[in-house]
Amino acid sequence: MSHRRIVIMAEIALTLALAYVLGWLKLWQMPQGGDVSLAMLPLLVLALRRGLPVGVWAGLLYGVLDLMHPPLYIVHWVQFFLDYPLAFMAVGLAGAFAPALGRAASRGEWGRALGTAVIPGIILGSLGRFLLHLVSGAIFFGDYAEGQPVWVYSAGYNSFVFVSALLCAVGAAIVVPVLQRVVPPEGKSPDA
Amino acid sequence: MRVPVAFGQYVPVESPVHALDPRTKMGLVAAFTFSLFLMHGLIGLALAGVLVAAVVRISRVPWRIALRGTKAVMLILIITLAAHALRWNPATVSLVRIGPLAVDGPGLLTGVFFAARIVLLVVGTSLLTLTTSPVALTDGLERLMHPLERVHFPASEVAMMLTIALRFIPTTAQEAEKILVAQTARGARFDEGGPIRRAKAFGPVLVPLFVNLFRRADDLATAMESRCYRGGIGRTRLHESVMRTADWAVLCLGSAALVALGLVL
Repeated sequence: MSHRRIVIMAEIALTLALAYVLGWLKLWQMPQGGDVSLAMLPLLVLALRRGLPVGVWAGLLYGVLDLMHPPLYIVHWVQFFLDYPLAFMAVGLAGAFAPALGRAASRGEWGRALGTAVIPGIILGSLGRFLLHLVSGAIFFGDYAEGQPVWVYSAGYNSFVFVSALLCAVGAAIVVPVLQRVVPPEGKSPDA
Repeated sequence: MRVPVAFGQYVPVESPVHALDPRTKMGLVAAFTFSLFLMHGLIGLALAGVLVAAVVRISRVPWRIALRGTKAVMLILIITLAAHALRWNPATVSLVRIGPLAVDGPGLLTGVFFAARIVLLVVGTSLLTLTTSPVALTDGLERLMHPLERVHFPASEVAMMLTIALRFIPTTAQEAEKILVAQTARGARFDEGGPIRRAKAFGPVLVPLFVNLFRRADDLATAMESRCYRGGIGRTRLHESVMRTADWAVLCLGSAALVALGLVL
């Protein structure tokens, strides 16, 4: 097993721990389990740093880890897969923009890095998560719609994902440039 | 703003439920959940409730902790009951009527059925984490995933990552709290203003947390390598968890009884 693989394993594990801790610092809690927090930020940062497969794995494992801390909002096994492992795996889609971030960072173009990698990555990751929660909400929580069309109700309820994404974008804009300089993904920087 | 350092809800007491292998408990929770969705009457749910109460009693988990999860779903329970039971100006005879608002008898029973199922789901699934330590859970998960290694699924690596994550949650929480306290002492406010202002306020907390995370990951990888970590191949354990005869008996009989209960009631 290569050193790089072990480093990535350790990064995924510690990212899960940080995501979990940031998940506790809820800025807004919703009645059926949704919340506005910075829990997505470590998953997004790792995906942007290491790419799509690592991001998707980290998301999947975060979904599993989240299960170990009840109360759980599970009403059906399909809803469980949609709202837990698959929704967080979708966050890892942000990793598709990792090469663009690497290119911009290597040239020190931080404005370009934000515009072509960080922000599009966060939009893609949060959109993926939103779509999975949207389907789950419309199918399994439609009873709470109280007369509204279920898809409209589900879209409204799950829009908390975009509020979280906006906060993560603010956090990522602060954190990503520092990380690329101080702890670059290819190894320790000389000044670290 | 405080970071809760204690992880999960594991209640470390000695009981026959705690002594069961994590795989047995996972199997039983799966069978219990499946059974709840098969049930279509209140009698079945009442029996499942008696069963859950008996397990809580045997496990010696305090009732206050066992029922804690229901507090978080209280609003869902109220909405579930109201959505099914309340009718606006109904043409049919109602159980109770206050002006145009009426409580519908059959609707109320349906609401109680769905609300009871949510309570049983929350309490029943919580019992797994209340009686199994997080490390034992990941160990059980690894053993359950072991057959998938034949199709190149990295079960051992997955379990190792989950174990490290669980080990480092308290450390990360303490670190976050320390930085939060230090920044608060410098005048930072994390509980004032709108979400964007709050997220910005977290900036000086996030940067050290992330930098420490990636530096620690590198150190951890070096430490693992220097201890000859090379994945799951040839790896042994200090404490081997073994499925005893009692575990198999409880798993097989319990699952069969639960599924039968779900099919009949």
